[in-house]
This record gives sequence, structure tokens and C-alpha cells, in this order.
Amino acid sequence: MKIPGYINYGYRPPAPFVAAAIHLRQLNIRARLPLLLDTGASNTMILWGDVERLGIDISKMKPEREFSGLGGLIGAKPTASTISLRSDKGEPIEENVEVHIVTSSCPHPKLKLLPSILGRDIINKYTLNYSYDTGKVYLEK
Amino acid sequence: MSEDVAIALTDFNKDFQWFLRSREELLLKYGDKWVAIHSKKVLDTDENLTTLIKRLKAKGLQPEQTLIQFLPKEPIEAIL
Repeated sequence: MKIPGYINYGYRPPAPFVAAAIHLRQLNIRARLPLLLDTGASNTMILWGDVERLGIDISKMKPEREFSGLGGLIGAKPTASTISLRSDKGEPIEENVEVHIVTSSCPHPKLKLLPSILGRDIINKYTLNYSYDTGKVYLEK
Repeated sequence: MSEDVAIALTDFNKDFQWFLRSREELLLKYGDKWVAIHSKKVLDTDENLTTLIKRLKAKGLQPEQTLIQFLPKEPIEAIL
């Protein structure tokens, strides 16, 4: 079973994405969003731009975890969630995970441009096939 | 997964593919702006994400169900 992804040329170098539906069960929020396939990220995470788009009030959220990155430390709240992906044959695939929502305030407006991330907590359940030269990216189980 | 979610996901995949395929064309019109897309159509654009989201809500649209992407004139370089 293959889950097709897409290469976004709005990044330099271009970056692999997958389209997802997400149900943040604890917050009763359902949304659709592109997620960057990021093998460098330990966890799936909703970042500032999508926090705003999804209408999540992070001022009321207590961070429970801290993540380090090149930009420093950020706080995040793990949230019981279901991520739904679509196979190339139209089959629905669900993954129940704790999606992490960034709780630190956005340190710079430019960081709202960063996409939310599909991390290794989900990627590791699949084989990630990525060939920039042929323009193909997909997760396979 | 409910049928509704499956249909919504199919539609969202189509919108995202359309956006990526149309990126160069959209860039000429909406460079350095956020664009809101639904059913392969640009619903609204703005330089400011907060303003765009407020306007979409005022129109009765659901930003969380809408593809909203920034169209940078210069590709984004980032290490996450």
C-alpha cells in the first residue's frame, strides 16, 4: 500500500510533503493540512502557521515537552490525535499518535512560514521512498 | 475513517496537487502573499496570514479546512 506525497518547489532545495487530515481529539478540532516529511524530526508537530489557521489558543496550553532544534528550545503539548492519509488507491489509512502542538510563542513572523511536520513517530512505520530526480515520493507499508 | 473524511482528504489532495502544479502561475499574481485555495480556486489572498484568516471566517469559510499556503518570491530555505 502506497501513500503518495508531493514535491513542493517553493522550498530550496524542494521538499517532500504529504496531504493529511488531522483530528486533534483532545481539542475537538478537525483540519486538513500538508505535512513536511521530516526524518530529522522525532515527532509530528503543528507549528505556528497552522496553529493560527486551526484556531488553537496556545496561551492556554501548558507545555509538557521541550524540543531542541537549530532555533533553540521550544515547548510543546502532546495531544491525542488521529492522522488520516490517503493511499494511491483511495484507501483511507489512519494513524493514532500524540501530535505535538508548539506552545512557545512565535519568536519571529517569518517562522509562520514553516510547515507542520510529519516526524519519525509516523514515518518509521513506513518505508519512505523519495527520488527527487524522478519527482516521486511516497510512504509504503 | 468516516466516508466524509475520506472524501475531504481526496479533495484536499487534489487542491494541494493543483497548487503545486500551478505554483509558477500563481506566483506571478500572488508573489509573497498567503493564498487560500478550495476546489482548485483561489478564494482570497493577503500578505498577512492573520488578516486572511479573519476575512475567511467573516465570509463563513473554515480556514482549518482550507488549503492556505504562502507563495514566496524566493524559495524558503529552512532547517527544521
